[in-house]
Amino acid sequence: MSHYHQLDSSGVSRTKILLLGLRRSGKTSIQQVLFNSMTPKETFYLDATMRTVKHTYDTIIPLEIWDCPGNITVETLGVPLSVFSTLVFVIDIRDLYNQPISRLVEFIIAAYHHNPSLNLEIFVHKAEKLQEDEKIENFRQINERVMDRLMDVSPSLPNLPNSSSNPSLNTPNSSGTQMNSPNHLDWQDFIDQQLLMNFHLTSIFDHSLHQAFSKVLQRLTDSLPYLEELLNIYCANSQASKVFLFDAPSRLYVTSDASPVDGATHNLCCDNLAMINAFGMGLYSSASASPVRRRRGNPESCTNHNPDLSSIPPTPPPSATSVNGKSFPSSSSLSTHPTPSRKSTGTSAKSKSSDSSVPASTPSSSTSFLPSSSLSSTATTITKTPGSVPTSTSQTIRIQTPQDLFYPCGATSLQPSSLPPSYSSSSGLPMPGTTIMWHLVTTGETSLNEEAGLISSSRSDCDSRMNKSSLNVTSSISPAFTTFKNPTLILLVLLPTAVWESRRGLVELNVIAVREGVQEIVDLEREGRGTRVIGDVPLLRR
Amino acid sequence: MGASGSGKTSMRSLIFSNNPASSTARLGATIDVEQNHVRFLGDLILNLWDCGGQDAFMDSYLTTQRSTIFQHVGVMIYVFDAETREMNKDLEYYRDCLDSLTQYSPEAAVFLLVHKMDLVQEPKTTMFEKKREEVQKASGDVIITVFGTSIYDESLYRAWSSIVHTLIPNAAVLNKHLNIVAAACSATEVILFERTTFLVIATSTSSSSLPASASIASSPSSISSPTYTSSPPSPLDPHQMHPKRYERTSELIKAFKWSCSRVREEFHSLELDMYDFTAVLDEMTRNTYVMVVVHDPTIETAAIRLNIRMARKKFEELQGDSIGT
Repeated sequence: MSHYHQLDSSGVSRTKILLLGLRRSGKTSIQQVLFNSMTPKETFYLDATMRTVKHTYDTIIPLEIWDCPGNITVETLGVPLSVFSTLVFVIDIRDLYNQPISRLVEFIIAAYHHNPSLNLEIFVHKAEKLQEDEKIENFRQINERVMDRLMDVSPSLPNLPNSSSNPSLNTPNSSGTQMNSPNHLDWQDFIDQQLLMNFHLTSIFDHSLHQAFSKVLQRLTDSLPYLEELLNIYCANSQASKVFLFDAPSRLYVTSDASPVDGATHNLCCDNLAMINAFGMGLYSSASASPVRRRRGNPESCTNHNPDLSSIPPTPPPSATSVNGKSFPSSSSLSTHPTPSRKSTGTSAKSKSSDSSVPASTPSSSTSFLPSSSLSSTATTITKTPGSVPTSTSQTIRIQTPQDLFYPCGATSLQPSSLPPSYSSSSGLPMPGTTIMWHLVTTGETSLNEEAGLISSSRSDCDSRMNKSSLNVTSSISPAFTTFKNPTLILLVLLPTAVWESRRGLVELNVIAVREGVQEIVDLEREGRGTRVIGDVPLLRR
Repeated sequence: MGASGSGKTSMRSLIFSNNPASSTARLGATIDVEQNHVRFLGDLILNLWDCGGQDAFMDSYLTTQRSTIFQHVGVMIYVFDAETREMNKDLEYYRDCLDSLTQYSPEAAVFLLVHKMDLVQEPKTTMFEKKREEVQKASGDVIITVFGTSIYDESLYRAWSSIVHTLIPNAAVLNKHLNIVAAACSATEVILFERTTFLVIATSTSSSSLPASASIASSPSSISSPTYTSSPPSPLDPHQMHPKRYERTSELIKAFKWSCSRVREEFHSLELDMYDFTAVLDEMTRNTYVMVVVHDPTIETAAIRLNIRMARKKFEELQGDSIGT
């Protein structure tokens, strides 16, 4: 892990983001709109933030966002800057005075001393208040003035907290970043080379905030290359023009495939997601019929479907130190599907058999199953790198989030506005246009717990029936850690409508591989932070 | 009609011209009467007369232009600003307009919209009730229907769906055929929307009688429940679905359609397979969209689409009939 994670009192090591800026710059609005589903209009009624509030949010990585009052300074912050991975500094775009820049520079200097690898994201905010030209001009000016001020400043200002005078700091970096340390970069080099600073033009009233914060999140995600690779493979094998992995409630995109992200496409997907979220809020949920539907995802019902897996022993509890080459099947048909598993040898044996059992797809179709070799190599890469971290401790904690049988999905079909007049739906021509197909890839636990009456009781039945011994083992582990939520991630795929209509089954099957990969990455991310999942005891492996 | 600045043109812009709510801020005052011919259900043309509300114009409508304005009217929609400071003056003008209407077009339906409800302090229902009483009193014997609305939520769609519903003569026939589709798909509900405005034209009422559909199938003699009090679902209804789902769907789809237009794409169809329900929204005829909501988990969306395709012809026929007057 490149970021230093300090364990907080609950033992969960979260990536910490510091949200700073002068008062009324828009910090709390940003936090509320993104992470608390507040509509932009409602932010008008927010009160001033009086004390620092720490908000936790579980996405691909667990986050802790510190929303500070406007008058906070380096001294009054109360903690060393080294606990943070990112500093988001919000400046009102209309504020062309010195004050925000002075405050910003103070923090940059503190970062230079205590946390040179701090990501610095500057949000030039409230962009909606200005017209286009003024907007760009102010943005440029603020950018320039920050850079100018940084050039002028000398880092040895006397009123900064020097680490030697602050014994409470026990960060591993502190000793190395003393002002007089010979290893310390000098200020000029720091600004030119090391300082990771980005400016963003944002507003809560459009998608610019989401785009900006998505980039902030991506910079904090260590497993980004693996996620991107998963999506690239998916894209190539499904003839998709673009794939996004969104965090559903915040509508931030965690990853996209390697092709450049076009703003308009991103906005369209973001709006589609907003619509999906709205429909998912129980708009058509029926008091009588919906709970019965939820049984689709009941793990209990799936034990009957997988006779071929009965030979595989039920999942060892998370406290066990190793997992035998176990695949993550979510239905019986997938037991032959190449899946990422922890032991690469297990995978290759499986994939050989699966290749022969998979029906040969026509050469012209590029939407074949994901080539097992490339996926298992990705899998081995995944297992290799982070795997080294947990095994160093004697008690290796393996997190395996159980898979559901049913994940919500859907598709929105669009047609180009200028359809040729000769076109009709009954002609033999393929349908023009794009389809945005979406699949829920990881479920936040709350979505399963909501139907508490049905699901949790059946889960506990599963528990008692299959894992009696393992339950005893897990209970002996001291429950020092708090529950750590599985994020709600949605895969959004842009496909030509013709591909979606004719190759739908294959395209959807490929999603399953992505889902398994993403879930594994999410589990590994949580694992590497020394956390354990309580209440989500991985039950049986189907 | 309604006072100056009460929101008449904004409503028209939102519902009939598919502009987003945010763009209404740029609209200027309407000068005299703006006539709009809106194609509704393809063959039915709605002649919208958006009357500027400034005093000078109002006076002219009630005097020199009286017969022009108030003759051959099918529906009068009078808009009140919920935050108005001149309620008495508004009521006076309203009374005069109502008198003129009963004089020249006694058969016309009257709808009253208490608009800009988003600006009203909580609790909104008390304020709405108060306004409702005032306008009811001012209306005397005339039968009216009152709605509380705002362009920033789904309430406006509810009001307008009710309004246009009165203009569709064969709603009952449509209802019957939607029920057939519902039975074929084992659907809980089937809703028919108009394509451009996405106002609800008809719904299948399955075994339950939902108050929402009751208000849609309203004759002018009913005063529908105001949107700011939630209408309790009928106790006989086993599904107990969200009472505002129709208008909320209209609002969501319209908002998404606008997003699509920004990338020069047009929304065509959608399907959802959620935890709680499965739905398919697809085009039915060239003027209507249908949404089929299913709760049975064994039903595939492809099967629903097939049924919709097979029902198309019948609905095209029906529509030919319904507008044949």
